[in-house]
Amino acid sequence: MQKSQASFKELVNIVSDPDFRPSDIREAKWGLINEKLAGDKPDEEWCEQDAGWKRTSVTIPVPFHRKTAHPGTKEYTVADFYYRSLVSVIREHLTDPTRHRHFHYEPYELYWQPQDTGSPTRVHGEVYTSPTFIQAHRELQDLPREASDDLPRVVVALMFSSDSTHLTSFGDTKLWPLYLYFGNESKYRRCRPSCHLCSHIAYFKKVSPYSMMASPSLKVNYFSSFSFQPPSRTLLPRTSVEKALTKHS
Amino acid sequence: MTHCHRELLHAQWKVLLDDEFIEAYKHGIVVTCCDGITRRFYPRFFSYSADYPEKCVISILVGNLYTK
Repeated sequence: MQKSQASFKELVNIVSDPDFRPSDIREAKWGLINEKLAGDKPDEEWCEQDAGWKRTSVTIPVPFHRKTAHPGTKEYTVADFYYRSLVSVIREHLTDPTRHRHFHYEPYELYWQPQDTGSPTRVHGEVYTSPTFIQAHRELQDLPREASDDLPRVVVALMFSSDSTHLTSFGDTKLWPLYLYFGNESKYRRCRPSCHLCSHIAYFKKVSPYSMMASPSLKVNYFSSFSFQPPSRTLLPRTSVEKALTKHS
Repeated sequence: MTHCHRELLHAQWKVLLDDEFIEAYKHGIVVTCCDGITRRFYPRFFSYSADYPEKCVISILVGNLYTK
């Protein structure tokens, strides 16, 4: 309700603006504009230069046992694998002025010293205070240097996470994203969505029995592996195909 | 199916870990930071969080789910 009132006020403001001309609205081709907005053109959106997303196809060898019609390995290509270059994501993160202040370039050991006891206690909590980070940092400093190179060396701790996600309550629309966090940031900042510290790196493709059966290079073998001819796609429940294929693989 | 599943994921990781990244891993990326200091950054892997089935796929491990 609040939203619609606000947008109503906005509309009134637009209409009452001295620069507003009703003829502009009347002559615009709304049908065409709506069609364009509703049109599904994912390529343009994904491959925008600014976003840095790239698209490629991935080919894997699929082995077939000797009892199939054409034994040996066949190539299977999965199209539309979207990803971003890791180096460009890292570079973007490092040059962002809003993230610079909280980025830990060097590790340290954190100790807790209670007043009444003598020995300080090591506190484990962040990646940049962990022994692993310190060891990585030391190893990096010990690497041989070129004579002209005197730049400070910094470890960038990459922390990947990925989980297959169901997008809908019904149906099997799935996404399998790969996220990247930087261990040089505090965990308290990493976990806050408002800090925007999570980068999307890729959307993994999964092997689907349907697309494998439809693939020209594998088609012959799959169909000959079955004692039945699969009916048309619309009639075949997905689960039974998966079961059949798992049994045969 | 399991084999293809794993092959595909590893093939995709191969795309991600391209020559540019390997070069950065070995020799670092030179970036001038916002404080004006130029540093050489070396990306290192610290963690890979995933659920059990996905970890099985990435670690070339045959989990219970995939032996069915």
